[in-house]
Amino acid sequence: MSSRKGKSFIISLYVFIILVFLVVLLWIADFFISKGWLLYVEYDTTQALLNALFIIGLLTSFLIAYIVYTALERHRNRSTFVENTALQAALSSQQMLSRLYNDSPVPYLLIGEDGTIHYPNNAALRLFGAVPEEIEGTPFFEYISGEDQSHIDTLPSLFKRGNPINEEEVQILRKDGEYRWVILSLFSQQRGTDEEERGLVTLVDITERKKIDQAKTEFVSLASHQLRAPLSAIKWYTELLGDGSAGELLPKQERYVQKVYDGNERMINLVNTLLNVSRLELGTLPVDIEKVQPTEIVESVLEELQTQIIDRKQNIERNFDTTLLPINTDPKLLRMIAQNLLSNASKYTPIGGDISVSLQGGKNEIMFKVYDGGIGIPKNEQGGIFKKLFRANNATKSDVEGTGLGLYIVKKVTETLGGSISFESEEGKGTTFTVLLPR
Amino acid sequence: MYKILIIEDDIDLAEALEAKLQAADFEVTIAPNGEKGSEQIFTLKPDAIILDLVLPGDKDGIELLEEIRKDEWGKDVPILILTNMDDIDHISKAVEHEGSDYIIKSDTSLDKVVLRLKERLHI
Repeated sequence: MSSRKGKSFIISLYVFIILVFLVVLLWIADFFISKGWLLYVEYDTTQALLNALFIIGLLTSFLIAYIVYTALERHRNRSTFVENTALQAALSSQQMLSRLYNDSPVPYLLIGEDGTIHYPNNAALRLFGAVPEEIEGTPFFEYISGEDQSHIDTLPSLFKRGNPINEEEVQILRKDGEYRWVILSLFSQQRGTDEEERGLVTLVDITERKKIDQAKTEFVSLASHQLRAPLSAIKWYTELLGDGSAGELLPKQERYVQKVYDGNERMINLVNTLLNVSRLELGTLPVDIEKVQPTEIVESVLEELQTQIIDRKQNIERNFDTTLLPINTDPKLLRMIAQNLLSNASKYTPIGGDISVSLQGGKNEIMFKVYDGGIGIPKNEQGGIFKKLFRANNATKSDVEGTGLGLYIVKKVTETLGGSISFESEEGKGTTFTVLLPR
Repeated sequence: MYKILIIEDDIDLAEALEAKLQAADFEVTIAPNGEKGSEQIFTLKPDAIILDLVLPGDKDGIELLEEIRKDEWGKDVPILILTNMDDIDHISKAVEHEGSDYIIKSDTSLDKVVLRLKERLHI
């Protein structure tokens, strides 16, 4: 600041000197003229004039120099003022950023090139259950673990390469030994303002959410287990009644017992369906891949549906590729797909109608087709057929039961197995569902 | 006559099984929990065991299963696992021991249970 003051002074001084120099030149000219060396001019008036000019010139130089000086000073003050204001603004926005960083409800911290923790904010300190000295400078990745440990182990090298880490679900080990589930994101800076800090880490605590998910899963398991107990009792005792174990039944009694049995079976199916839907939604459907012969499974499902098919006098045409090799899939899930499609085929096909089932193998996948000559799906309702709880109007009319969950489950399970499902249908004519599953 | 031991805490279900099995000419004993089951197994030495996985008390189905399999005689006795649980993780341990499938009670008729039992006994 003082150098600026000095600068204005020096500039003014130069201006002054130049002006004085010009004035001096004038005076020298005056001198030469007075000595008669320059001009043959009448000296007296010229001399007087020149003297006057000399004095005015000196004064003007002072004035000009002064004006220049004050102008420069004013400029300096203004720019100092502007500088001060800008600096203040910068300072206050830095303060604001600092406050934002420190008081953010989201845990932030910076990591250095070497992966060590720096500047944990208050939320981060709360998350780690630590004071700054306890975690400052410690290796960040050593606090991290997770379900897929082999994937978690790749994170430090991702960071070293400067790649961002996006929303990884990991566990943080707190200072008190407790684990918290978080969503970890890391933004690398190629060159920070301070060479030390290479990355900004954000951690979002989802421990509560995880606990709720776990509780949901446990609740579903428990509920279905509890519901199944009385359903099993009704199933078995109506079976015993029905087969005469408690004495011969009159035809009417037999009929009524059968109705109780059937109603109970519907309830059991509903519980199973709800359990599956819940698992699909929570992503907890277990998938156990093994070598499976698809024809065996489909045959077994057809056998299960025998009673229903015989009752409805329906014809089943089988078209199984006998050279079909086993595929790698989950037998329980394949069974689920077959059960849903085949029982639908029988349910929505009129008495005496036709159903055909085919299993063909390709190089990379197998094709499972179920055709039924049933009520079909109206064109304007085909878009919703795989949606949860969707039932086409003609389906509800022809069969009051039905949850609208079957096809939703089939689609989700097929996709879980890496396959796809499509259909063709015409109302009143029939429907063909095609399921493709990878080998 | 084949001796069957049913280890099941739900008395209604146990009696339904008993009625069916007796009608199929089996001699049936029922144990309502893990401890009683354990006693019966080694005194009765049944030809087959029908075992529920979820049992009250200190010994649950899986523990009992492991105990039976550790025993010299127990390691070969046919065990039919009955459950209403759907927790595959929990069940697969049991299935590993058995090398065969388990039965979900609400999905299996008594006829089928008898059929499966006969399969395991090679009747």
